Amino acid sequence: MSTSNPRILVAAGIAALVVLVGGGVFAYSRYKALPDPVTQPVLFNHKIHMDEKLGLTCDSCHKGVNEGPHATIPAVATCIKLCHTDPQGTSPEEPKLREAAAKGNAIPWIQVNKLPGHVYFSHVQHVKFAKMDCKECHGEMKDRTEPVSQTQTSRLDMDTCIDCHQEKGVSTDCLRCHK
Amino acid sequence: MNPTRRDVLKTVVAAVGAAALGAGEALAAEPAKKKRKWGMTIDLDRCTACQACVVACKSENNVPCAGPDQMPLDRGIYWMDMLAIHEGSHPEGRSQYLPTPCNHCENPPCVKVCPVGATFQSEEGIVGQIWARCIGCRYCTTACPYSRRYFNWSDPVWPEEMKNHLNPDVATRPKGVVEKCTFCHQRIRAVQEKAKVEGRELEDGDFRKLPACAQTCPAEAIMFGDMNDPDSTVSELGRSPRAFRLLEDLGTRPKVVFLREAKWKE
Repeated sequence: MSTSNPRILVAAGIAALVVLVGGGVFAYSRYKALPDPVTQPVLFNHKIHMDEKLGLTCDSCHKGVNEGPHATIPAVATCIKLCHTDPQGTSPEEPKLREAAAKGNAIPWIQVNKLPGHVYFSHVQHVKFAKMDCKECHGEMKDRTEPVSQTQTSRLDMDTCIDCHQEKGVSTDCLRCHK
Repeated sequence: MNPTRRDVLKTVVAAVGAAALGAGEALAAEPAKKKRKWGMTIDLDRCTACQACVVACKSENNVPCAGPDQMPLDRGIYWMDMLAIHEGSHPEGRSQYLPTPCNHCENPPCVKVCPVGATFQSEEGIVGQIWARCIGCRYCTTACPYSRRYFNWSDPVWPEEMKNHLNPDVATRPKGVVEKCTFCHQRIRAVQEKAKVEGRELEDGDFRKLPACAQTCPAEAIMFGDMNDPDSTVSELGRSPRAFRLLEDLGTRPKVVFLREAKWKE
């Protein structure tokens, strides 16, 4: 069989093109894809805590947003002391809180919003000083009845950071956000 | 085409409007506050060459231990190094020890040669390096006349007991990138943010011993601060007749000032 047959050459060319384009599309979709969902240890219900009856806001519990770089999650003891001294409902999740408190353990939440190790992000700068709404990055949490199993945002990349910093006239000095 | 009356009128209105806007802006702008310019002074008459600064720097900045296979190849990494200079020979000989961080030059040769913009001068005069952007070409290590840049020839390793003591505020660097002193910019950022939350102005005292080397120095030989503030400790010490900079004739304008009573070479 001669390789100079133009039909075979064209077919090979088309095959190579399909493989290249297909590979590119696949790689890009993997790059843009969200990580696999995780199962949180307690099925925390944000909606119950944030409805009109209780009226908690994000920073009622995630107090760190007004104080420093980290948003923070309250200690189990704080939940027990402030509200859950007695059972507040019939949810099978609530005893898990009491159990952890009795043993003095923390609830092993799994972090879903992760930044690369060389990036510094400060909640206080964005929430307190830039007055950004939490849901701009974290989605509408007050409607969620289940815990977050996946990051709610595809915005944790440098393009998004830089676009917003430029738009709002904030410094884009590398050392502001890199470590 | 000759301009119509309407066109002329438009131009005049636009010009008047622009002038009025410009005047408004000029009135609104407050006298610009001078940007900070970080600098360091190292008093060699106080320094006892104890090397506490060298250890503190390694610990603060997650600088890896090169290990016995790399050290003989001269591949150790020291953001703060202690250089020994010996003059003369035995009966009259004497030694000078020189703690040498990056000089954070105002005219940095390393920044000019970086082909990918991984190294740069920050708004406040720090010569920084973004590890993730570095391609490891090592032009900058060659360009630096002070040899204050280090290449990671191997993946970073730490002794087992140090692995859980890495500083979370400083990223670890992989094999194949260049790293350097950053004047502990993570500490500067933290103290600036803390002061903003507390709603207070930063004073010279907040910075004087901010970097790990300055904080650790038992002889208080290392001082840090804002060189644009004429009343800061570093500015005052920088005006001392004892002050000199390394290789001043190169025109790199280092922001690390050394102090020494005796002449450099006698």
